[in-house]
Amino acid sequence: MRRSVITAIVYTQWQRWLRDRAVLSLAVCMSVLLLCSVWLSVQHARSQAEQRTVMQAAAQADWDAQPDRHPHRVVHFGDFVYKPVQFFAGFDPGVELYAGSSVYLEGHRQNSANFSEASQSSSLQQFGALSPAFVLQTLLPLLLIFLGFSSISQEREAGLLTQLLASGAASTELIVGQFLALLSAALIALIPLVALVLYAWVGSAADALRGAVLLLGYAAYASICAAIITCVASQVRSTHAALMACLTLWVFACVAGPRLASQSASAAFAAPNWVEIEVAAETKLKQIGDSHDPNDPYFAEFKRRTLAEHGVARVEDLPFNYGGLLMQEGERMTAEVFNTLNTELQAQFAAQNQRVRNVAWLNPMMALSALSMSAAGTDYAHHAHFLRATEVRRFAMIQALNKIHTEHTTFVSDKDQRVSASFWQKTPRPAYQAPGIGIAQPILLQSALILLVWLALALGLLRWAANRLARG
Amino acid sequence: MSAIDTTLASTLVQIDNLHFSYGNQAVLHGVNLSIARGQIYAILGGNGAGKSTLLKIMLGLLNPGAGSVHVNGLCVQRNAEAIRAQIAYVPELVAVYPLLSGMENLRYFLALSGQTKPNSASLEAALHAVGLSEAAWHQRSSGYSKGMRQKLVIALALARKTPLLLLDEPSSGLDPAATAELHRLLRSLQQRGLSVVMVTHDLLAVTEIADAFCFLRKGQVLQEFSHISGADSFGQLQQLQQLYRMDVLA
Repeated sequence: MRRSVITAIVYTQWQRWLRDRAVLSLAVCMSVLLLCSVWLSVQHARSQAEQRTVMQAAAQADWDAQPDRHPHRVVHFGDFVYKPVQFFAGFDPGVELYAGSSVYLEGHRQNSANFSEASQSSSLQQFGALSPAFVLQTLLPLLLIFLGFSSISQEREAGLLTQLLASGAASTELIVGQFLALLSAALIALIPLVALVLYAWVGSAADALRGAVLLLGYAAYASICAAIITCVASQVRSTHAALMACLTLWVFACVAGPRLASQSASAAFAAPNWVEIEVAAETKLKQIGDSHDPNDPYFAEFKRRTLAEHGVARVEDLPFNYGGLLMQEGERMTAEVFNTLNTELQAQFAAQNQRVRNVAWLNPMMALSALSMSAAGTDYAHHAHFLRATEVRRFAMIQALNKIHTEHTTFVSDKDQRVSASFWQKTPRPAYQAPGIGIAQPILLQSALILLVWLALALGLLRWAANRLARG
Repeated sequence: MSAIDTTLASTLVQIDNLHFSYGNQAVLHGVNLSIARGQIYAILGGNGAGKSTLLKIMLGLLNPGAGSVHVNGLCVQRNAEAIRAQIAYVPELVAVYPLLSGMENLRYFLALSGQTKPNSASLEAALHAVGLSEAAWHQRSSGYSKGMRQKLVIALALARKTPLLLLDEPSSGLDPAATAELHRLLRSLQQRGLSVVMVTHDLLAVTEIADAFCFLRKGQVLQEFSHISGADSFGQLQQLQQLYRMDVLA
């Protein structure tokens, strides 16, 4: 292959695009759309981050402002944890739109994450977000189709292909030249992402790493799209057939495929909703024992054991408040039941996600989507980490309060007592630390592998197309 | 790289026992031709005679089932790219990139042939030589007529300095004036040392311009002729017309 010939093909293709009003209009629309999506998404993510910081500070101030009171009042006063906004959440909001952004932590129960954007918006949210990730995953291939469907197919249709080959251009040079022209157009669309990555680089190495993964993923995807479009355009007999073939592939890959995969995964691994989990937890807890029922066998045995352990006959004679101890035991049991149900729920979600990722072997767009969300820190793995961390914080906080209840109040006249507000300051409430990209490593590795396999296949297809073109 | 067959040095194109099929449909059956250097050679025949297929095989764009084609001493099947460097091809539906100007088209096609930085003066000389008006050089070729596009592609042959020009139905779609202009151009190219091979079904054009020609029918060379002139011309023309009718009525 001669580099000068390939350069000439790329240069001339760009000349032709820049002189084609239809192509120019489309490119301008796409650029405006992309820039708007970047601007709006980044602004939205920034405002979300600011809001959550303010709300977290307000929750802290409310906590600090609590007066001297009974520890169990504090258990019910509860606490709020807000999920921090990841740097690339503006680029790819992932599950953030639908998963809640804050969790209310209180005793006796685990709450789901609340206040997702979808739950707080009008029905307009049904259209989804115009994020840069959506534009690059779904609309960029469409732009590439409109730019590339006529490459070679138009030349064939107009009778130019024979002239090009007769002029001395090798079929491989023609195919590679058209592929590189299309790829260069696709890479230009990645400039906003490059800018974001450079900005991230200045701020944090962890975000820069996420950005680098995103950039590599999107570059691989752009290469796959450009190669497939060039291949299709070079093999079909007419521009019309090339356009129809490319659009059909686009509909399956970018519109129908992901929805079909997610719906079939949901049907195959049905997961209960949170209300069902709460009802199941209540039922299970009632089966285990009722701390308020003196005849409940479990709690009767718990009481007997406690009294025997301390060598006393009445709970009033214990060296601590038996009511607080009951709360600790009740909380332990509640958490255990919720954790079991939650683990089952997470297993169903994991099975659904794995099914979708397996289908992604057939669809590079789905592999990119998974890689993009994971690298941006907005996938379900990151959300699940937030939920697990909040539960750890909730359990530690509630049990610490129950311990204060046990050790600093008495069983007699329990409800009328108060403890110093200084205790609330000492209650463990560790701030949530968002995980690094490593938490999504299995997803990232699988998605990257799928993209690499597709890239190799697409480049192989290009080679095959060049050989076929050479044979006429 | 294969050695040049010196026994063929005086012959520009040598075709021996050439066979070609599209699937089960045989198109050429045992074509033998010998075209001398410096000639304008015409391959005559009706629709489906295999003329255009023969040109594509000469360009190395199609592989024959059997037989051989040598151009300038090189076997086409083994040296397709090297052969294409020596041939300029003007198809029947001559096309150029409509959004590029004539000059840009010329530069692009030259770049494809490996000449990335052609001398502007040589390009202008080629365009002058084919008679493309200067006003058209920098205009988008979307407004070019077929004749203008033909001239542009022939200018490419001059700029590439190829020894052989292949034309597929050059006079189809041209009015008589444009056809006459094309013939003058082909003669001038011949005087510059170019050999021309054209396939056509235009009997009059052949009698006017060709130094030699053959008649191809159903994939076989029925007869070869030298230039029609003098006392034999009337008889030869009659013979040709008879062959032509046979082909049309077959």
